[in-house]
Amino acid sequence: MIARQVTLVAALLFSLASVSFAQEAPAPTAPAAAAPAQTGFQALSPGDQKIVRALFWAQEVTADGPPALSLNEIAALKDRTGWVSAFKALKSQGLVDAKTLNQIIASDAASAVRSSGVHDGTTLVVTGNGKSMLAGTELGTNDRDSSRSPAPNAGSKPRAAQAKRAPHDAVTAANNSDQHAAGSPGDSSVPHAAPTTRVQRDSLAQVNDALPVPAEATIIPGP
Amino acid sequence: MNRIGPVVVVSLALALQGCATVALTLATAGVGIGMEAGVEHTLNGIVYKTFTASTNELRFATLKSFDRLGMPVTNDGKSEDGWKLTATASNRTIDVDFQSLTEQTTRMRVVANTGAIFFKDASTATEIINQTAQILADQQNAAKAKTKRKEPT
Repeated sequence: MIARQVTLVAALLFSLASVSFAQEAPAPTAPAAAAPAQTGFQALSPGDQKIVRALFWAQEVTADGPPALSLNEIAALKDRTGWVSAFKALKSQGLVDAKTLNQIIASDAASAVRSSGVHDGTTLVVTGNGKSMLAGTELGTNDRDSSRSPAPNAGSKPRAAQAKRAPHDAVTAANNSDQHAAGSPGDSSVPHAAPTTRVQRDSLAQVNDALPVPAEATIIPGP
Repeated sequence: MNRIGPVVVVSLALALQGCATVALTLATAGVGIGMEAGVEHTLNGIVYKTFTASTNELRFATLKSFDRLGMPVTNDGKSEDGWKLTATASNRTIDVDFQSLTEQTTRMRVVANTGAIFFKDASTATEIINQTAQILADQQNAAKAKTKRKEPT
């Protein structure tokens, strides 16, 4: 009799224990022993990450074409000349269809505006030679200090500013000789624009000194 | 002896509660709101879906999904069956395998490991597949539109 009662108690304890084990939440796993050093895309500055992301999303793959490059692979293409070499590498493989890097940057900004209304407070300015800088934020330290090679028309009077006031990422710029030709000094359709409140005036003035007006730039009249 | 029978039944019922939950989850997996059609779930949290796309296109769509989800890719290379990707998230390692069935058909297998061997995050794996399907559809629509634009009118 006693043995039977012991058996019953043991069976009940076993069943309850198995249920509690099954419903026990998994113990939180300890984080990795040490956070791995950020490399590749993750190690880039925010401004460079935007450019790499724009290049990445601009790729077009086909079933029998070359495989698209990942963010890390594109990040590795940057050299001392900036991102133009990365763009040319993608272009040579037939992965991008755009004619200039600026087209990719601008279209990426436009799509970002469409997909999200959130603005992170940064304005990325990219020159035609691949240099980039962030304005309106403390994050833009990547190329602010870099010496910029003068544009072909650097000695001429700055004719216009380009500052795209967008609800999200305002990305503008370009230094394309063809585009420059389209906007001649006498072209009254290209008015002088005042910097927006978001873009730091000093940074924008530096851009204005060196950059001609791209054909696709959005001109925002001053207040 | 008459008293042991009910005890055994009650014990088994209590012991198998978790299994009933698993069975219910599997039974409703394909009809949930927002659930991508054709996503196959297994008991151990591995998620599959077959796409009408090449491995090349599917890989690119998955890389875009990882970027959209903010999951950095740590491994990207060929495998025996096709291609293999690995990404990371909070205490998770996401393994994606692409098995090329034909030139235009690829099976995608997603496993979201949550630290231990037996614990899988099926909901995250399902979301990766859903995002990939959406991006792939966008890619294919864009390619069609581009082809139409290039055709002479």
